[in-house]
Amino acid sequence: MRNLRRMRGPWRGGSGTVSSLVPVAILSLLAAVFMTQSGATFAYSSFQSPQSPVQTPPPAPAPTEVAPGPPEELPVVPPGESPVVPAEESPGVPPGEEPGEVTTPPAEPGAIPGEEAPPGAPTRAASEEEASSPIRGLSWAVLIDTCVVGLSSVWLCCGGLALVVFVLLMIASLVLRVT
Amino acid sequence: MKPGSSGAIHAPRLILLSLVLLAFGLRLYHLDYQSLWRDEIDAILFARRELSGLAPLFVTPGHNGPLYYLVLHLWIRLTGDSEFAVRYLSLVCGVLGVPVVYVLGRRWVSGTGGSVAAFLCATSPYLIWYGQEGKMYALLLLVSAFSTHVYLQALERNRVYLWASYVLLVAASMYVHLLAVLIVPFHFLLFFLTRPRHRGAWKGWLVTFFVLTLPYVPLVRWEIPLLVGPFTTGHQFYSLPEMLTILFFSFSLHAAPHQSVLAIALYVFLLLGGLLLYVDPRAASARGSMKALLESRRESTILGLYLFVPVVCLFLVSLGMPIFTDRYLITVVPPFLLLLACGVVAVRLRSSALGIVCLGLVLVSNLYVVALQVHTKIKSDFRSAAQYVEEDGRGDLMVFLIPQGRPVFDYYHEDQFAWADAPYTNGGMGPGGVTRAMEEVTEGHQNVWFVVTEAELWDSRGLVQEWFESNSALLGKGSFARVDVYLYSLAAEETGTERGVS
Repeated sequence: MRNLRRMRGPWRGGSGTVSSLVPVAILSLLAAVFMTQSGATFAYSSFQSPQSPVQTPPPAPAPTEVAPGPPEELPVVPPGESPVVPAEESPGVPPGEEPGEVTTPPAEPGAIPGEEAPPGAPTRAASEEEASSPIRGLSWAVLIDTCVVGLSSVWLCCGGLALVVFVLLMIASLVLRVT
Repeated sequence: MKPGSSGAIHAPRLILLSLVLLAFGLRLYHLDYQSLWRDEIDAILFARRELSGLAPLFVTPGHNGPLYYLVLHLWIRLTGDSEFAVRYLSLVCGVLGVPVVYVLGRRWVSGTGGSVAAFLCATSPYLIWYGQEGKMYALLLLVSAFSTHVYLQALERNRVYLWASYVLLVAASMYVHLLAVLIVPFHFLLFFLTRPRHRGAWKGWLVTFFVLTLPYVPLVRWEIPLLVGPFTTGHQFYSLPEMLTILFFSFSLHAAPHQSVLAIALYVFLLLGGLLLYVDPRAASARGSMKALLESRRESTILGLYLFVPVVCLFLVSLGMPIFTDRYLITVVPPFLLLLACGVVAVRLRSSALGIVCLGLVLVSNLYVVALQVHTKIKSDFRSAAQYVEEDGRGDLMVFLIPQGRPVFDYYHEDQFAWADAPYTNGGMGPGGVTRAMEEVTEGHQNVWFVVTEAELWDSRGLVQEWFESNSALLGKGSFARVDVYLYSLAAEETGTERGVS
């Protein structure tokens, strides 16, 4: 360590000592080992479908209708679950691009009567379970989320109110100036 | 040369110009090498709409980037909608991001720090990837980083036009991507961190933050019900450490298929160096007091907040509604790069040679990953798939698994086929249901193309593929990156020679 402190030449900079880098370097190495062994999702495997493979896009409508929204870009509601808001509309294909011959519309997912999932087959409920938050049921998580939403609402309300007051004050000052 | 002479003044500009040219070259090279993927095609289809069709998107629930589609609409009117043209818009935004990062670096780190940050920005594999993608992320980063710069200017000069510009930029960023709003809490905190310097600006600041709520109103109208309602996004939930790890890998090594411990350690080392060791030389001269110590760490603290506040905010939102994807947080790439630059400067102050070695190693790593990105088919290769089908010339029906693959295929395939979507089986449909659905779909057709991409989203058990295999003969198969195409003959007696392509 003393030798490090005595370093001269190109390895010696303007201020501080090289030895102060050693703990950071050791820490970095440990963090790197930990990160590579943590089994984290690497970017390479998540270019196109960063979301969980269990994600379920909305059911496909008939070919003549507008195609379903891209599953990657918007929050998707699993089939069978009525969304609070309408799902995103995908851009319509210009008429010229429609196929010349329209085939029979494909079956709506789960629309075949009497059809049952084979035992052991992944069901939508199970998929949703995995896809959504594992701590969704915990009250503190919901509480924090509600707080965030509440704060946003308060911010908006205050902003709106302050704007109204600001505009009124401006009008009042203009009126006073004119009179 | 004397300091202050014209040559010394122009040197930083020349460096910046060189870095801009470097960024341009790296983004231009193999710009259209990757095939367009479904998100890019969706952007094109939105942008092809008339203006009257685009306007409603600004208030329609679930739209991430209506302003980008509008910009792209105007852009493709000028340039056409080829792969190259569509991606060139992102290239321009990505290149413009370099000087913005430089300016932020010069302000928060130093002249050298600004140059290092701009250098990292120019060669960043992550930013090059999104600078070559026909989506809103390069524009998002540009607008968001520029809004931060304008905000700092407004705090310093306290001019109405600067505050107004800031509001406009933040409003624009919100409509380029919904989650751009996550940068606002950082801006809010930044005022308090720099308050002693900008004491006179508080009135303008207050009014600006109130006005800032206005452009958000149309968004919040549908966002709040969505957040408090029983809405599921389909995104996976990630804990905060997982989010941070994913972001770290994305921003540093991005497309590298194998994560080298030493490469990761280098980035962690520079990041920690920026956070822990970097000391503002202007403030460091006043030694001794605790106040001076805090003052000298203020810039790295600000950058730390710039990096972590949006991530933590997204995590809080994700607690109720998982929505994390690394590119949604592309707005925090500038502070990541700036902290790396701080790390390089901090190391250089201790050992100039070691600082240069670190920067050189980062450059080697960046160029290696960039080379991988632009020479490996990573996005779903519909271009090759369409070419394969076209060259084959047979087939009278196309069955798509998943349906989102059809618009992408159509973009590359001029000739029109009759088409159908494969049945959705992840909802519980069994083999019997698949048989009925497929018989209905393929009725009256003899040679059927089956185009498969991201099948696990739609038919994770492979039931449709099984149906084809047991009810038809395989005439040909082409396998491409993330896309497979099969030609099946449904006529029982007909058999053909299998044609395989890898």
